Amino acid sequence: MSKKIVIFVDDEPLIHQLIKMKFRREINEGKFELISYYDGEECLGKFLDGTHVNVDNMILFSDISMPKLDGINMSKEILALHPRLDLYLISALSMDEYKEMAKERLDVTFFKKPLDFSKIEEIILNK
Amino acid sequence: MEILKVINELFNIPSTKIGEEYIKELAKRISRLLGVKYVMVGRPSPCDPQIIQSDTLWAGDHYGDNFEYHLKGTPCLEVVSDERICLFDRGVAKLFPKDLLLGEMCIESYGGAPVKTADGEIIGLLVTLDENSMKNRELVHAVLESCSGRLGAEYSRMKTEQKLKSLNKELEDKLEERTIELNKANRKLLGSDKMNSVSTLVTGIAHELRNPFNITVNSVHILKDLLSEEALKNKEDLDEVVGIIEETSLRTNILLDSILEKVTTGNEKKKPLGGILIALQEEFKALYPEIKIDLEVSNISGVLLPEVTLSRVMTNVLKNSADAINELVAHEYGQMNPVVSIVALGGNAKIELTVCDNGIGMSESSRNKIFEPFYTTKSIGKGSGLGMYMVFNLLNGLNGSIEVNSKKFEGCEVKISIPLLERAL
Repeated sequence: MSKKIVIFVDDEPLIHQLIKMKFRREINEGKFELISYYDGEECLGKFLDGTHVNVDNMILFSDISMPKLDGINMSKEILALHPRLDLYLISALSMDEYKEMAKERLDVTFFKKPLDFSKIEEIILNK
Repeated sequence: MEILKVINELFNIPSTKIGEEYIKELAKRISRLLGVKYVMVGRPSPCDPQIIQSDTLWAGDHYGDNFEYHLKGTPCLEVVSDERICLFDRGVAKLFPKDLLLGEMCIESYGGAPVKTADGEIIGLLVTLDENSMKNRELVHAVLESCSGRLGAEYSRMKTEQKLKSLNKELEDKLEERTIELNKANRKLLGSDKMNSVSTLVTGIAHELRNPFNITVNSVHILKDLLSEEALKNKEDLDEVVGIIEETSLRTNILLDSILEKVTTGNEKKKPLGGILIALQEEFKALYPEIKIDLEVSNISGVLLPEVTLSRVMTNVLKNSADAINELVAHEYGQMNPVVSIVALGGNAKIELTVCDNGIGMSESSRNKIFEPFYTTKSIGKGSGLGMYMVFNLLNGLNGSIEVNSKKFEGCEVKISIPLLERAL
């Protein structure tokens, strides 16, 4: 079984910093690998260029509002390649707004900001 | 028996003929069935009830032109004033010598009947005239009686129809008037900057504040974890989290200051301009690796400027440049060499910062509105319309100025000037 991979996509560097601190021990113990991307395009590129092929042990968390490629459109493209990918979107705007947008296009779970770290932890550790 | 037959034939007019058409057809049939040359249906003039205007005139083999005549001295006066059918078998022209028309037309016999509404009001008259004497008085009487009744009903129907039409028109006019009023009110509402600004302001502020607050909330979560851990062993992490909280709080404060147009620079840390610009260049490279960013500085050694304020100004300007380039790239399918340049020129009394890009540029009207709060050309969620408004206010706080030169599809040049208060040696 390959190593668990957790991908975080957010244009806010401080969020990546906090996530790293939150899971420092788990990462050091080798429980999973944490990968940071700073916008949707960078992340999608890594799926297109063959960096990420096996998604069985992967969890992807992404912000929605990002430069270049937003989380919703990025997810649409990635899910077209890997429909079974465990994907979560994080929204700073109103829940209703994005639920509505997502209903038509995507079958993913939404989180509202501020990000609930305990919930994230639960998802990662139970995978 | 003959009367019934004639009347039956008179009223056997197709139901498609109504109003004027019906009256014309009836006049023609009366002429044929009674064997009289002229049949006239007329109504009093709205200006003078003593003048009769013909609606229909059947003249033996064709419809004649309509005409007017005065009731005075005519057999018609008797019909109208006595409100009854009047018949003159023969010699009518001689009986009414003042009615010159009768003489001219060589009229011998006359039949006239008032046309009444259901309420008995006289609204017109039906007249038959012939050059020969009347053969069947009884038949003429019966025909005039039934036909005048039928005409009365037809005129009433026409009047009601006309009333309905004008009522409808009146309603339509009123509706149109109301619609125009409503549209006017609507435009007023839409155009009202206050209405727009308030809701956009609330959304804009809420959105801008949410990010730093979210980070603070997340930081506090980590802080709690750290505090519960083996008695504060992890000093480094603690410092980092506290640093993040401090930074986001400062960001929030600056945002609020710029919204409240109170930019305070006095207590802000000043740093060398060169260092600030290099940090901005690095940040830009990381965010937009596909856009080339040049930095050229001249005579800026020792220039100190408030770091957070200047970074905020430059970040907004640079982000706009990147957005403008990306829009043009999308437009031209990537056929360009995207480049942004920053030129910093130090003078004796001021610093001039010029940012140029070869992005999509902007129209004259956008350029005129660029500093208006909430004015944005970006799609929802991509721009709050507060960026350049903040830039303007932040620069005001530094007693600086800003100038934007751009044309659609021809890139953009932003010139910032900041007075130089101190220069470290």
